[in-house]
Amino acid sequence: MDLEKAYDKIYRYTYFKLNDQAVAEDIVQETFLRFMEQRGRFSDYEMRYLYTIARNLCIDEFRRVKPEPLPDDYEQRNFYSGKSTEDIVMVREALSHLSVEDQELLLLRHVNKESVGTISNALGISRFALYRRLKAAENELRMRLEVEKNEE
Amino acid sequence: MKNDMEKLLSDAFYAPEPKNKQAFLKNIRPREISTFEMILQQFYYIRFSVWLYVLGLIVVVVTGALLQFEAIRILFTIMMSFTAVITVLETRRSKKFGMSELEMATRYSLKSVVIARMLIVGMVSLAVLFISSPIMAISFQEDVIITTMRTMIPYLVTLFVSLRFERSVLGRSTEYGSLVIGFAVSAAMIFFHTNCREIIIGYIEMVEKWGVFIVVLLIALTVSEQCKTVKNVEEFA
Repeated sequence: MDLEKAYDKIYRYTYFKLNDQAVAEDIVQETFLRFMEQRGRFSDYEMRYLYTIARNLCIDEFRRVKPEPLPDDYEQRNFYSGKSTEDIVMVREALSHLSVEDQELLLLRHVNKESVGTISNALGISRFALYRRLKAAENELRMRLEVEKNEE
Repeated sequence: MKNDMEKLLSDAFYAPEPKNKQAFLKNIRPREISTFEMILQQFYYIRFSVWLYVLGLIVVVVTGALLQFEAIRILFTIMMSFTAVITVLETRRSKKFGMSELEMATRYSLKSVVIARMLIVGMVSLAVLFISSPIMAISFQEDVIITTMRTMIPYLVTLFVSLRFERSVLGRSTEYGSLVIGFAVSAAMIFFHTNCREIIIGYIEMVEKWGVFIVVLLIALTVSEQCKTVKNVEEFA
């Protein structure tokens, strides 16, 4: 995997965590700088370290920034800035019922397409626990989607 | 999870295009690394076949020695000669591709890569020699030093001649010239071993008397040849 793809993945992850483009990008860059400072080179195997650094930096950011009220257009920025077909809106709605941790797992596994090993290392949980949580999150999402469809 | 669902998830986790990605990636530079780390990195670029050959050599020699196959003694010497050929070919590969791996180009000089490769394969060859020789010696109830030296001499001769050949005009234009040298040394050893026993006995006696001197001389010649190869490396990159 090249550096650019890794950048995109970490950016998607930090954006999911922080929901602020500029801050997310700052954190991605800080993540890479710290990683390069320690390791000197980048390989596919080391994605887990990047996720760990990014995750810790996001936590630092949460601690540093005082909570502010959400902007008026938050809903739009968060949910409708991409392609907004009916299906996507429905998935977003279903996702919003899931816990942040479950959303994080779905993002890492199904959007960033990370291996179970990478995710379990980055999140500091066992592979078995990850499988279990991932299955539960997927089932929950399916169930929520069914509910959304039936409501329609 | 089905592909269409993954696609929807991908869209659901939408993130706007990062603004400074290209500028950042263009400027990011890996930090300077130490010589040791550089040598360690070069391990990854040595062909898998080299490691396979070394492993095969150890397995064959140890098995042969433990089962006390007489032929393993000459086979060990022949295989060590080819280890020398591998060292030279690995050096040649670094030169042939002008730094061999593009990602290395911005960080190290060709010279340092060649030295690192030589060092790695050379150390591995010596490790094989120092692991296998005592096993051979114990198994065939011989002196460890004599056995080591007896194997080391053809190895060093092959290495020295191959390195010298590689620097020649003919060597530079021939792809696998050192392989021919390896075959020649092996063929000569097999020939003497099967047809001229007195030469082999004479060789063993010579090793017992002058072995240390010969080995030291050959090491000095090989090191000098390696230095010349490294010195001229940029000329024929």
